[in-house]
Amino acid sequence: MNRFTKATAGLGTAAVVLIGLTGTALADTGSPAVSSASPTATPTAAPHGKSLASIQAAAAAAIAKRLASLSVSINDVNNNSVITPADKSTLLAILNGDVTGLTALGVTIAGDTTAKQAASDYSTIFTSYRVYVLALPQVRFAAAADDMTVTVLPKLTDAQTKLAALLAGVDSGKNTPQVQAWMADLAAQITAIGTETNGLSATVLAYTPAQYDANHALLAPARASLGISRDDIKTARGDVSNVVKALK
Amino acid sequence: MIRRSSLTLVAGVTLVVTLATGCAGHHNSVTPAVQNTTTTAAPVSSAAPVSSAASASTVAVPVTPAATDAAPAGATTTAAAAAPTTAPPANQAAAAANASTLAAVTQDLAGIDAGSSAADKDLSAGDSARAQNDNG
Repeated sequence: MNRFTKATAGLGTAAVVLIGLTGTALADTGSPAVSSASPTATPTAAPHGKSLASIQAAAAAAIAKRLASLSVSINDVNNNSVITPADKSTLLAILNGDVTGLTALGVTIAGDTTAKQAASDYSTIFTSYRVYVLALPQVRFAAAADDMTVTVLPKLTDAQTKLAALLAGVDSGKNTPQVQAWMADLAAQITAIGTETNGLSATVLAYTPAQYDANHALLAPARASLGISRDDIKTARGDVSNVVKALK
Repeated sequence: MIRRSSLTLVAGVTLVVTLATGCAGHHNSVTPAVQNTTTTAAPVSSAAPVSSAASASTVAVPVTPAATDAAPAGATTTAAAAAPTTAPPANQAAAAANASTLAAVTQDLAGIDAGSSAADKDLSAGDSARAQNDNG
């Protein structure tokens, strides 16, 4: 059984468990906390000073929401044709690991017999997984880095090579100072994009929830590099387009 | 006797008139034939401007209109067949190389756009996830 199959099976198990948890909570307390779908309100409102049942219900909702998001992300990764095989393997391991862990955590919380224990377990939904602030951004940022390094950068380099050949040969008469400036900038942008994105996806994928807990700005440098590279791509694309127009 | 002589005179005059009329009618029928010859010659001269300068000398040679029509066509065919045997101009080859390469670069631009669009979506989705409160 591969990771994805395990994850799918895990999601099914989790759904059954969570339905049971939610039903119990409603039957025992009728707590309105169950109806809260917002990930913003649910984590901070439920645990402390609440009854065991309300904590269990809040945990069920929080876990169900994360499992749904993870399922979507797993599907996206599997269907992504750009992400490198190595990155895809790492991403699926992270996502499926979270599915397995959160599913087991749901069972644990459902079995807790005291509010204190449930509250303690509840907090690990966040501290041990960081689905929204780390796992899902890891997937997207690694994919964005691969979009740039696997797809965009080779195309830019290929265009640069072809245009340089034209300017050195049949279109040498059109190699004006302006065209030379565009070509020089194109070369600079390609170098910059390569530098910014080199090893970036691997760096992003190596981050752990524990690292995030110690530094909530963990992803900021990677996100900044991706933004810079995105701007560089726009500039480089403009350079290529300008040279093409000059040679027509 | 006088009556017979009169008849003979009348017959003689009639014969002369008939002969004269017959000669006149024959003469008239010849005239249009000459005109027809002139008319058929006209297309020869009118066809000449249609032909190219290279085939102009051959246009004057034919006698019949049919031959006149065939001659320029043959000349044109000969000229068209001769064209590929000569090497294409250097600037024509350069233009072909330019167009081919620029088409490939345009394809690169399409790939760049596709990759950029995918990166934008991934960055947006990552930012959206990070915006959710996940701190417990």
